[in-house]
Amino acid sequence: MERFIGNVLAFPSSPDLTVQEYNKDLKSLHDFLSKLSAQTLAGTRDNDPLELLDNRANSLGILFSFFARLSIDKNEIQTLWPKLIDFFSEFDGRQIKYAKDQLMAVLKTFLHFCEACNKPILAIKPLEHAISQLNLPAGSKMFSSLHTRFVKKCLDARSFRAALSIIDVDVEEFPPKGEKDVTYRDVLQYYIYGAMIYMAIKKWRRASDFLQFVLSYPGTAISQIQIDAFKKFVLVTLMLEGKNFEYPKTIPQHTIKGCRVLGRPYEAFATAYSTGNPDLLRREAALVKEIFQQDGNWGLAEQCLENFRRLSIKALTNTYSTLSVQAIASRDLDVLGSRNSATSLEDLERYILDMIDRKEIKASLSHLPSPSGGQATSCMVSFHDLPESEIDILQDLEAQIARTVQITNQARQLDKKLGISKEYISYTSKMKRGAGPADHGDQGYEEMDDYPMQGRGSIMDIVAAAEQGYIEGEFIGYDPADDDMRPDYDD
Amino acid sequence: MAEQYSMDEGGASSVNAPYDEFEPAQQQQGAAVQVMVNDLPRFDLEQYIGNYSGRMKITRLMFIGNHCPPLAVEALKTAIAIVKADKDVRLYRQAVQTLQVYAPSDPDAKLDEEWIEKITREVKTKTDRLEAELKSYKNNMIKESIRIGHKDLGDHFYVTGDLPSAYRAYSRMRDYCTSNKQMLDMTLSCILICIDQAQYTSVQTNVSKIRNHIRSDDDLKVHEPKINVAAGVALLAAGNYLEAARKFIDTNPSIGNEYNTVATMNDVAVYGGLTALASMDRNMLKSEVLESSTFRTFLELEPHIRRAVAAFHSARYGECLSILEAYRNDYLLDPFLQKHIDKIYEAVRTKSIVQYFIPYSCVTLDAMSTAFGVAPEEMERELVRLIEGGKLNARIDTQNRLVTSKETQLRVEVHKGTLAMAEEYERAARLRMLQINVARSGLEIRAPKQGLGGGMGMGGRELRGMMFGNGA
Repeated sequence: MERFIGNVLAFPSSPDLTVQEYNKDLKSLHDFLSKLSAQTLAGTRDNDPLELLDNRANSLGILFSFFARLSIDKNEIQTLWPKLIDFFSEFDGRQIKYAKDQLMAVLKTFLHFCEACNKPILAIKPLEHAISQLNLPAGSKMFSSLHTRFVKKCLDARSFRAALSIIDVDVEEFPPKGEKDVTYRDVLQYYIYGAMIYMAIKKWRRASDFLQFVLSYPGTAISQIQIDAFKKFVLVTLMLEGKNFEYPKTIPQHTIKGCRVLGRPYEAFATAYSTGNPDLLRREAALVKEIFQQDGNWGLAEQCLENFRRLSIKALTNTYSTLSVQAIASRDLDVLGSRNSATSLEDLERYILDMIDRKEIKASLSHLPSPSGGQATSCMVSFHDLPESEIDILQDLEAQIARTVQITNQARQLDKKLGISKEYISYTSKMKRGAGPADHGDQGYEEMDDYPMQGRGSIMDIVAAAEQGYIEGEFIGYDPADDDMRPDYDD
Repeated sequence: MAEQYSMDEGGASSVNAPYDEFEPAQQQQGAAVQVMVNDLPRFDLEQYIGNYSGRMKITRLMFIGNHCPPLAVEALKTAIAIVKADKDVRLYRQAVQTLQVYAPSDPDAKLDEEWIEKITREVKTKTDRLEAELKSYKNNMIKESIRIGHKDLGDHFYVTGDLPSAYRAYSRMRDYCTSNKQMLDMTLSCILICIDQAQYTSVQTNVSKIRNHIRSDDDLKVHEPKINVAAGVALLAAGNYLEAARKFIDTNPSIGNEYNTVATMNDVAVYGGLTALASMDRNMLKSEVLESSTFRTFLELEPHIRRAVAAFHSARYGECLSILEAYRNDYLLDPFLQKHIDKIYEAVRTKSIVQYFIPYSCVTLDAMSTAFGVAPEEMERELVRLIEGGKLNARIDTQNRLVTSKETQLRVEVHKGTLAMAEEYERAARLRMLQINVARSGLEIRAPKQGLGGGMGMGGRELRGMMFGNGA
C-alpha cells in the first residue's frame, strides 16, 4: 500500500524530463500499477489513495484507484461521483497515455450514472476535459467517441454554450484505421448534434457547415442521419440566406438521390419561401406543418417564417428609398399570423425600429402630418444605403488570408500523411509492377513526391484556386501576403 | 368551337418520336393562350391573303378565322373555297366546323358530304396507285424512278393534307438523290412541311443539313434567302430573338415573293424589326438594322417598323411603343408571331425603361409615366418589377415620387465578391479534407445490415446501450 502511494508520488522523478524519459518512467509506473491487486489500489478507509493523491499530479494513480474501487463494487459510484467529476475535470492527459482502457471504463460508468440520475449537466465539464486530454498532442482535434457523447450531453442538458469549446475546434483527425472505438455513426451524430447546438444559439453559418459535412460524408450507402441532416440543411439555408438551397458540391450522387426522395416536403417549403409570396408560403407551411412536427423541425421552420418578414423588409431596401409604413403593412408579410390578422401599424413601426436598432437595415422613420390634416400622422420609412467601410472589409480579407494559409498548411500535412500511408505505397508499387519489372526497395518512397496528383489534387486545387481568388481580386500588389500564400509545393 | 385549328395541326400524329415530347407542350400553350382579336386589324384581308400561296394561304385564313371574329366569316369562306378546289378533306372539315360557330346559316357552313366522299375515294385510289408504282420501281432498282416515286407520293400526301406521311415520303428520297439540286429540293420540301406542322426544331436540323449541300454561288443566291427565313422563323419560335433578328436582317431582298409559301417580304420586315427591337441595344439597332443595306429594302415595305426602330434609336421610347401598340392586332393574327408578341413587347418596354433611365440619377415618377404613357401607379408597379428582377439599378422614393439610381461602390463590391469566394473555397477545402480523413480512417458508411432505420433516436438508444453493456 505504502509502496503504491510512494511510487505514484515519486512520479515524475524530476520536473524537467525529456519526453522520452517521461514516457519511460510513465511506462514503468503503469506496469507497476497494473500488477497491484484491486484491494491494494482501492485502499482502506483511513488510507484512501483518493485523499492522499492529487488529481492533477498523480492522475495515473488516482485512475487506477477509481478503477479498482468501481470494479470491486459498482454501486460505489453513488458516493464517488463528486470526486470523479473533480478528477475528470483536472486529470493530466499525458499520464493516462497507457491507461486509456481504464479511463474509458471509469468514464463509461460515470456517464451511465449521470444518465441514470438524469443529470446530463454533470457530465459536461468532465467530458470536455477528457476530450482535450485524451489524445494528446492532437487533443480535441482528434475525433473520439467522447466527442459524440459530449455534444449529446450538452444537448440533453440544454447548455449549448458549454459545447462551443469543443465544437468550435475543427476536427482534423479521425482515429486510425482498425480502431473499433469509433463508428461512422458516431461521426455523423457528432456533426448533426453539433449542428443542432449551433442552430440553438443561432450560429447558422457554422450549423450549415456541419450539416454539409454530414451530407458529403463518403460511403457507399446513405444513412438516416444524413436524411435528417438534409431536412435541417434546407431550413438552415433558408435562415442563412433566405434562398432555396443548393446541394453542396461535395455531396455524393446517391446521397442526393436519397435526399430528393425523402426530403420532398422540405424542398416544397423552401421553394415557396424563396418566391417571396406570403400567401403561397402560408399555404405551404400549413401543408407541411404536421410532417415538420413529426420530424422535430417545426421549431426551426417557425424561425424561418419569423425571419421571412425581416428578409422581405430587407429586400425592400433594394427597391425603395422611402416607403410608408402602411405600404409595408399592406404587403402582409407576417406569415406566422393568419391572413388578414395584420399587425397594427404601431407594431410594425416598432418592428422596423427594432431592425434599425440591430443594424439589420439602415433606415430612419419620420412622422409626417397626413395630407387630410387632423391628428393622424403617416409614418415614412427612409432607407439609406448601408455604408460599407473599406477598412472593415480589408480586415476581413486579411483574416481570410490567414485562414487560407492555415488550411494550406493543413492540406500539405494531410498530403504528407497520405504519401506515407500503406495504401499509397502498395498502390505505387503495384503501378510500378504493372509498368515493368520492378526492382523493389524504396521505390514507394522515391515516388512519393510525384504521387500527389491523386490524393492531393482535389485539396490543393481548391486551395490554389482560393488563392487565385485573392490574387485576382485585389491583392496584386500585396507582397507579404503573396509570399505567405504561395505554398511551397515541392517540399 | 369544335376543334381548335392552329399551327399545331397535324402534330397529333407525330412524324418522329423526338417530337412526341415537344408537341404536347405546344398544344398546351396554344390552349392556354386563347387570343381573340375583336377589333379589325389594319390590313385588308383580300390583299393580305393574296400575297401568300400554297398551304400558307389556307393556314393564315384559318388562323384569322379562329382568332378574329369580325373577319372570321370572310376568311373562312375564302378558305373553304380554296380548300374545295384542292383535295384536303381534313382541312375542309375543320374550316366548315369553325364557320358553323360564326355563321351557322351560311350555305358554306354545311359539310358537302358528297364532295368529301368523292375526294376521299379519289385520294385513296391515287395513294394506292402511287404506292403500287413505287413498289414496282423498287423492284426494278432504278434509283431515279424510286426517287420520283417517293416524290410523287410525297406531293400527293402534301396536297391531301397528310403532312406526316408527306414528310416521311420526302425524307425517304434522301437515299435516292443523285444530284445536289435534288437534295436541295427535297430538304426544302421537308422544311416547308415542318413549318406547316410547327415543328421548329426539325426545321433547324433541316436548315443545318441543307447548308452542306449548297455548293455553287448560284445555289447560294437562290436558296440562301429561303433558308434564312426558315431559320429565322424557327429561331423566333424558339424564343431566340437576337439570332432570329440576325437571320431576317441578313435575308437577301432578291427573295421577292418566291418564298411566300412561308413569309412575304413584309413579314420578313416585321419579324426582323420586332425581334431586333426586342433583343438589340441602341447601337446595335443603328449598325445592324438601320444601316443594313439588305434589310433597308424590306423596311421600306413596312415603314412603321422603320419608324419604330428609328424612334427607339433616337430615344423616343414612348413613340416607339405607341407605334408598336397600334399594330398589335395585326401581329396577333400572324401565326408565327402570336405567341411571342407579348414577350417581344414586354422586352421592348423593359429595354426602353432601362435605356431611358441610364442618363439620369433621379427622375420623377410622373415624368416617366408621361414618357411611357401609362398611369403613375402602373409605372411604379412596372418599375418595382424591373428592380426586383435586377434589371434596373434604381430605387423608388414613394414619398417624393422619385426614381433614384443606386450608388454602386465597385471597389467594395469586388472586395465582397472576393471574400465570399474565398470563404466558399475555404469551406470546400475543409469539407474535402474531412472527407479524406474519414476515408483514411476507414469510417465510410457501409450498407447497414438492419436497413435504413435508426437515425437520431436510435443513436441515443445505442449510446445508452453501449454504456450499459460496457460499464466497468
